[in-house]
Amino acid sequence: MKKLKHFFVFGFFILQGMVLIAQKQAEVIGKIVDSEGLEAPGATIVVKGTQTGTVADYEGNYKITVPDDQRSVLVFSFVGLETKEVRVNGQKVINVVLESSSVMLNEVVSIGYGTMRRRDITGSVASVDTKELEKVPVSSVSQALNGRISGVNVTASEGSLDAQVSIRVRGGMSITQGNSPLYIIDGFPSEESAFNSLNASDIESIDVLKDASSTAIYGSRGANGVIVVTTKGGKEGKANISYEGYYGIKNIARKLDVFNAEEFVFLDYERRNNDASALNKFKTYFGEFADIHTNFADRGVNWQDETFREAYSRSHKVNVTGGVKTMNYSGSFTHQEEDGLMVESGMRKDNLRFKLDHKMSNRVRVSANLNYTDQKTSGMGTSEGGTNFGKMTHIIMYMPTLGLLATDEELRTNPRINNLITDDDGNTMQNPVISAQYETNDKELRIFNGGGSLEVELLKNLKFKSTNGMLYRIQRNSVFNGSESINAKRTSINGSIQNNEVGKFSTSNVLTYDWKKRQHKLSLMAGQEYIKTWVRNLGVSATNFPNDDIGLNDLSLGLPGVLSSYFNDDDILLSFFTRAYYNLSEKYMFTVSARVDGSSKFGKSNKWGLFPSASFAWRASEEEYIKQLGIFSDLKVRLGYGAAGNNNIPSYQSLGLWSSVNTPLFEGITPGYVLAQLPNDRLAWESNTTFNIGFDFGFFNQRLTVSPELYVNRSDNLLIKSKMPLSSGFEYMYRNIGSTQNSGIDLTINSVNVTNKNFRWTSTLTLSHNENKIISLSGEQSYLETSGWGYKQSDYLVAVGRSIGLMYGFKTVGLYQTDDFVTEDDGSGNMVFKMDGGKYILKKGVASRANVDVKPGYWKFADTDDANEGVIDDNDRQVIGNATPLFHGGLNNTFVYKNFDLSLFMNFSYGNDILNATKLFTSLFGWNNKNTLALNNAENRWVTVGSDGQPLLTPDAMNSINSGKTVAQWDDMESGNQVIHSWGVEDGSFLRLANITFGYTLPVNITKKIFVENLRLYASANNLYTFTKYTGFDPEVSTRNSTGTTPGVDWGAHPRSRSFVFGLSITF
Amino acid sequence: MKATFKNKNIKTVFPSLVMSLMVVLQVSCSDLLLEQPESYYDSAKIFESANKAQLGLNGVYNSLAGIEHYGQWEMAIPTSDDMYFISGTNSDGSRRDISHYQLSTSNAWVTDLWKNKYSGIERANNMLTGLKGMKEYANGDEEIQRIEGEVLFLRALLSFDLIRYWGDVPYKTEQTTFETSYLPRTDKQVVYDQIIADLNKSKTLLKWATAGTNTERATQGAARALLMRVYLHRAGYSLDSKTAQYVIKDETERQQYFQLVLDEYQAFLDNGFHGFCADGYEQLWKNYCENKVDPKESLFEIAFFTPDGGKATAGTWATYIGPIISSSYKSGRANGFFRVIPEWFNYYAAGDLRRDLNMCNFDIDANGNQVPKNNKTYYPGKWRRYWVKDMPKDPNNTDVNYVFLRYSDVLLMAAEAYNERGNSTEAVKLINQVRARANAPVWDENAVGGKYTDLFKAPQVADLAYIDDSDMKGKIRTALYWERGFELCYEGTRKYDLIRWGILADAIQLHKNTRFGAGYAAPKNFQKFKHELLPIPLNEIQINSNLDNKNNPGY
Repeated sequence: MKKLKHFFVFGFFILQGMVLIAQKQAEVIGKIVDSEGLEAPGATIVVKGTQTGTVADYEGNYKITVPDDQRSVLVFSFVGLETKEVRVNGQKVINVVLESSSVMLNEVVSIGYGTMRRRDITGSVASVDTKELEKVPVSSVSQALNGRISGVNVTASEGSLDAQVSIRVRGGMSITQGNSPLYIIDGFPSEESAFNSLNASDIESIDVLKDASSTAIYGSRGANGVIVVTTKGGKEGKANISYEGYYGIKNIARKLDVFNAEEFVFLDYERRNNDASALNKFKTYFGEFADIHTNFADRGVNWQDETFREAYSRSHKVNVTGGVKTMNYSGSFTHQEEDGLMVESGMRKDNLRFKLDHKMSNRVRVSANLNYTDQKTSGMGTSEGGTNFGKMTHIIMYMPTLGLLATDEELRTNPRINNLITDDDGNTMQNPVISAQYETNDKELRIFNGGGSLEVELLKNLKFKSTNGMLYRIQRNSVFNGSESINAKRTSINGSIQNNEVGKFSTSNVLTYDWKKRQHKLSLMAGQEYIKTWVRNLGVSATNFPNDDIGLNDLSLGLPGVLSSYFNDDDILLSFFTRAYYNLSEKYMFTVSARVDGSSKFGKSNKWGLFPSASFAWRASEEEYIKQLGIFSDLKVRLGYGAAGNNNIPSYQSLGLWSSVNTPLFEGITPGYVLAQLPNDRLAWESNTTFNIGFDFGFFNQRLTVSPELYVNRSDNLLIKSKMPLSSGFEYMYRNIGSTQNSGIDLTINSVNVTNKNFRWTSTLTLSHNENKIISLSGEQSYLETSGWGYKQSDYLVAVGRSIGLMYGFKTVGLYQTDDFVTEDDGSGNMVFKMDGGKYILKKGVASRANVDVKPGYWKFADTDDANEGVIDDNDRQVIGNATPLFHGGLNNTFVYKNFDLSLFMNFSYGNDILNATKLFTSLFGWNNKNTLALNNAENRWVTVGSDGQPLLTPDAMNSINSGKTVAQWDDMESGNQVIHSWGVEDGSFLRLANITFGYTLPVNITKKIFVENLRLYASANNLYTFTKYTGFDPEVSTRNSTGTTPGVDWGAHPRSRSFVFGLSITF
Repeated sequence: MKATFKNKNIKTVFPSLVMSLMVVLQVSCSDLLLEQPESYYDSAKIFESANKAQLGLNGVYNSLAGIEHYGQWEMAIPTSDDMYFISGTNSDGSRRDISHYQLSTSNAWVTDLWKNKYSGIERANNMLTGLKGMKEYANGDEEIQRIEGEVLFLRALLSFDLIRYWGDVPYKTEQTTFETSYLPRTDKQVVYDQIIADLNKSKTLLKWATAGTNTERATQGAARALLMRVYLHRAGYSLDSKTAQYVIKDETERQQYFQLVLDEYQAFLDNGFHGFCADGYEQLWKNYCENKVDPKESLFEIAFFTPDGGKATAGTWATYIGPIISSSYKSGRANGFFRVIPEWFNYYAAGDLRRDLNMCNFDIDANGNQVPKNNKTYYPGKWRRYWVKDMPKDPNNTDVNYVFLRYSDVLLMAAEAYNERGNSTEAVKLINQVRARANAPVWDENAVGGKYTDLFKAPQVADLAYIDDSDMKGKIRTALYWERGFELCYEGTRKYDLIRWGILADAIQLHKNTRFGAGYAAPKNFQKFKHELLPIPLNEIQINSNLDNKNNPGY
C-alpha cells in the first residue's frame, strides 16, 4: 500500500514534467447547465490566473481558448450558482453542472400550467422554503405557513384543533364573498381542506401567485391569489425507506385571570345588597358577610384548570421513494394523533400517498398520484354554539364555588349536584367539565383524490399535456347531547348528523411550444379546462334517546326530528386560455396571457368572462453598465397589469328559486315553498385588476437579496350579497356592485449572514403592509354589520372611503364620578346626593345616557353629535377600532454548525385592534351567579359597598374607596346594559416566538455502520412566548368573520397551546 | 431553413386552430352552463297544480310563525298600554325598549317585524301572481279559489299590521323585481283600500267554519271579522306620518264604516255557527295551552309548533307571557316577562271569572305549587305553561297558538258600531252577552241608563277624564273601554283600540302612580304624536333613498 503511494507521487512528478514540456494552446467548448438541467446563458468562463475569459451564449454554450490544454483551470461562474473550477486535462469538451447557491434566482417556480426559472419570471410569485416547513412539526400546513411569505396572511380563528384557518393573499378583495385563494395541488384545482390535510414533509414546493398578471391565467378564480403546491415524487437512484416520527407535549399558553371564590362571593354580596330577599339568599348560600374570608379564602375552582390539560401528540410516517431511469415512485403513510388542550377533545389523522412518474419513451411521459386522508376531530372549539353562551364564556363565568355546603371536589366531578345554575332570565349554565363529557361533537373528514397526467412531445418543442383528476370529500359532523348535558337536561337526549359530500372532476389540456434562437426565447401555451363540482348535503336528527349508550350509531333509538334536510348544488366551469412569453437577450421579458371562462353560476347573458394580462421585466443586472458597477449580482424590475375574477358565490344565485320551509299545521309540520331570492339575470364575475411593480435586488453574489413589491389592486363589480330594502320582501340579493381597493407593499429579504465550512447562518424576513379601501357599495354610503356574538348588536362599520374591519361603538371616556351629580346639604352639614324619585340628578353640562338612569360609577361615553347634545344615544357611536394591521410578517433565522442545526422563527403583527367580545361579555358581572375576569376586581371596579358590607351612599363615602377606578359598578354591568364600547377594544399587536427547532444529524461515518444513510434528531418548541399587550388568550384571533366584514372579534376563542416536540427522522 | 418553415407553420396554425376550436366549443358549451337546480322548485313548477300551489300557500302561513314574528316579537308591540307592560326598564335594544317607549331606530325586534311583514306580503304577492297564470284559476277551480282566499286574507292581515305600526309605508301588490325594490311611501288610505278589497274578495272565496275546521287556516268568518276590525280602525284616529297630527275621517264616512261593520256582523248572525266556547271562559284559555281546537269561538289562530324545540316555527306563548314557572317543574320553565298593572285587580266586578284568569300573582315552584307574590306583582294569566300537557321540548319554545281573532271581539266590535250609529239597545245587548259568559253582572236591559253606568264608575273602576260620558253614547264608549280591557287584554288589540279612540296618551297616564312603581315607565316616556307609531328601521332608511331619509314623527 505504502509502496503504491510512493509510486503515484513519483509518477505525478514525472507527468508534470512531461506536461511542462508539452504545453500548448487549445480550444475548449461545452455547455453550462444548472442542477435542474437548465442552461446558464451569460455564465462567465475565465482561465484561472489570467484575464482571459468569455461568456456563454443563450443556450449556455461557450467556446474558449486555453493557454495550456493540460494544466489550465477554467473557472465557471454564474449568478446564483456555485462557482466551479475544472482543470482542462486535455479535454476538448467540458460540460459543467453548476449547483445552486441561492434558491432565489434559479429555483423553478410555478406560473400556472407551466413552470419557469425565477430569474425569468415577469409577475409576482412568492415561494416558501419548504425545507424550513419540513422542520416544523405541526399538524396543518397552513399554520406552518404563517409569516413565511410576504403578502400572505394566515389567521387561525382560534387555538383549537378544528379552528378555521384563513389564508389571505394581499388582504383579499371581496367585501362579503369568499376571499380564499385558489389551491392547485399537482395541477389539480383542489380545496382548502385538501391543502390542510397535506403533510408538510410531503410538499416539494409551494408557490403563491400574488398579482393579477400572474393569476389571470386562472381567470375567474384568480382574484384572491393562487397557491400552487407540488408534492414530492421519487428521484432516480437507490430506493430509500425513511421514517419520521415525533412526540409532543403541550399545555395552555396563557390563562385568563378570573375571580377566586372569595372575590366572587364578595361580588355576589354586592349584587344582592340592595334587595332584602336576595340578601337572605346570600346568607343561605354563603353565610355572613363578615365570614367571607374565613369561609372562602383558598377555596373554589378555576374552571380553566379543569377544562384544559396537558396534552400529547404523536406522529409516525413511513416513506418509500426510488426510481430507475424511466420510472420514479414515492409512497408514504402517515399516522398522527393529537390530544386537544380541552378535555375530551382530540384529533387523529391517517394519510396515504402514492406518486408515480413513468417515462414511456423520449416523447411520452405519464404520471399518476393518489392521496387519501381520513381524519377525525373530537370535541369542539369554544366559540361555537349559541350567541349567548359560548363554551368559553361558560368556562370563565361558571361560578367558582357552589356555596358553603358542597366541597370543591363535588363541584368538579358530581354531575348530580346542582351543576346547572340559572340567572334571572332563566338562562342556564353548566359545569363546563360535565358539558365537555356529555356533549359529543365529532367531525370526520375523508378526502380521496387521484389524478394523472399524460405528456407527449408531438413535434420538436411542441408538447401536449393533459392533467386529469377527481376529488371526493365527505365531511360528517355529529353532535350528541348526552344525558347530563345541559341540552338534554332541558329537553331530552338528542343528536344530529350533518353529512356533506363534495365531488370534483377536472381536466385540463395544454399545448406548449418553446422556441429559441440566439437572443430570442419564445414560449407559447394554449389550453382548455373543464371543472365540474357537485355538492350533496344531508342532515338528520333525533330526540328522546333512551340513554347515551349507542346514541347516534342507531338513530332509530330516538324519535326522528324534523331537521332532516337535503340539497344538491352543482356547478360547471369551462375555460380556454393562452399565454405567450418572450425573452430578449435575458434582459427584457414579456408575458401576455388571456383566459376565457364560462361558469354556470352566472346570469344567462353573463356566463362568459375574459381575463387578460400583460407583464414586463427588465433584468438590469445583465446590462454591461450595471455589471460594471460591481454592486448587484441581480437587479430586476417587474411590471405587471392584469385582470382576474372571483366567482366565489353559491350556485343558482341568478335564478328565482322556491325553497322549502316548514309550516305549523294541526300540531305538526307541513311543508311549504317560498320564493327564496330575487332572480338576477345579470349576475356576472367580480373583476379584479392589479398593477404590480416588483424589484429584485441581489448583492454579494446573491448572499443578500431584497425583493420589495408594490401593488394597487382594484376590484370592481364586486359580487356583493347586498342588503336590500326589507320592504322588497328580501334581505339580500347577489349583485355586482361596489368596488374596493387594496394597495400595499410586500417585502422579502433573504440573507446568508455567515457561511464557511463549519458554520452557516441565514435569515429571512417577510414584511407586508396592506391598505384596504372601499370605493363604493351598493348605493348606500355606509351600513352597520353585526358580527353576532352575545351582544346581538351592530359592532362593525362598512363605509365608502374607509377600510374593512372598523369596529363601531361608543368611546369610553371613564366613569361617572360623584361630582357629576347634584348634591345637597342633608341639614347636618353633610353633603348627600339630591335624588329625584330614587334617581340621581346629573349636573348641567354632564351628558346623560339615553334610557339609562346613570349613577356614580357607571360607564361614561363620549358625546359627539350636535343633534342631541347632552344625551349619549346611538348617534354618538363612532369608529373605535381597526382590525387591519399596519404591517405583519415573520423573521426566520437558521444556524447550522457542523451537524447541528438551529432555527428560530418569529412572527409579528403591528397596529391592529381586537374587539375583545369575551371580555365585554364575561364582564357582565351584574348578573347573579356569574363569575367574571380578574380585571373587574375590587381594585379596578367601582364598588358600592364598604368593607363593612354597608352600602356607600354619600359622595364622600364613594370617593374614599373609588378614586381612580376604571371599571363600572356591577349595576351597569347587568345583562340588559349590553353596550359595545372602546373599553372592549384592545391593541392586538404582537411579536411571537413561534418556533425554535434544534436538530442534530449524526455524522455519516457513524450512521453508515448501522446501514443508515441519514439520522436526524430534533427538539422543537412552538409558541414559546408572545409579547403583546392584549389581555385575551391570544392576539391571533378572529372568530366571527363569516361575512368577511367583521374580522378581529375574540368571542370565546379557544386558548392557544405551547408545545414541545421531540422527533427523529431516519433514512435507510 | 426547413425547421424555420415548420416552426412558422406551427406558430400560425396552432393558435388559430385553438382559437377556432374555442369558438366552436363556446357555442356548443353554453347549454352546458345552464343551471338546473335539483333541490328547488322554479316558479313554473309551483303553479302546475292545486296541490303544489297549496305548498306555496303554506309558505305564506310560514311567515307568521316563529319567535321572530308572532311567536315572540309581536308580543312586545301592544305594550305598554294602560293594562300591562314588560318587566325591567334597562335598555335592551329590543322588547323592553319597545314596551317603555324608549326605542331607537335600530331596535332589533322592530327591524325583524318590519322584515317579516314584508316577507309575508311578498310571498302572498308571488302566490297571487302565480295563481292567476293557472288554467284552473280561469276555470274557477274550488281549491284554487280557497287558496286565493287564504292568501288574500294573509296579505290583508300583514298589510294592516304595517299601517297600524308604521303609518304610510312602501307598498305594492306585485311580485318584487329589482326595479321595484326601492319604493317611496304609499299613503295608508291607499293601503286601506287594498286591504278592504282583499278581504271583500277573500270572504267570498272562503267557506264558513264548521265543527271540524282547523282554526289555523283562514275561513270566511276570519276574513269578515278582520274586515270589521279594519273598518273600525279606518273610522278612528291615527297619527299621520306626514303632519305628525292625529287625523280622523269626517263623520259621514265614519258612519259608512260603522254600517259596514254591522253588515259583516249580520253575516255572522246569518251563518250562525260562531259563538262562545262551550266550556266557558277559563277552559277557552286552557284549550289554547292544551292545543285543543275550538272553531266556534276562535276565528283565526296563528299556529306554532316545534317538533324538536327549534325556534323557527315555535312560539313562546305561555313561557314569556304568563306566570313564572321553575325550570325544574315538569311543564318546563316560564320566564314571566310581562306584568299587569295591579290596580286592574280591583276593577273587575265581583264574580267576574275573568279577573283571576287574566291576572295571577303567584309563581310555580319546582313541585308545581303556587308561591304567592306580593300585591305588586301580577302576571298576565291567559297563557300558563303548567296548563300545557306535552313534555317540554325546549325551555322557551312552545306549541301554544296565539288567537288573533275571537268571537267576543266580533260582538264587542258590533256593539261599538251599533253605539256609534245610535243603537244603544243593541250595543248593550252585545256587551251583556260577553259579560254573561264571564259570569260578570249584566246590565239590566230594561233599565238603560241605570245600573250599568254605576257599574263602570269609580270607585269600582277609575274615572276617565278622557271619555265624555255625559250622554248615552259616551256611557257605552266608557263601557267598551273597560269591557274590551276585561275581555281582550294582552291579545294584541288594546293599544291600537286606544290609538283609534285617540286616547292612548291619556290612558297611559291613568296609572302613572301605580303601586307597581317605576317599572311601568310608559307614563314617563310616552310622547304623544310620536309613540303611536314605530320608527322605520334605520337600515331601511339608509338603504332605500326613496324614503328621503325621513323617519316617522319624532324619530
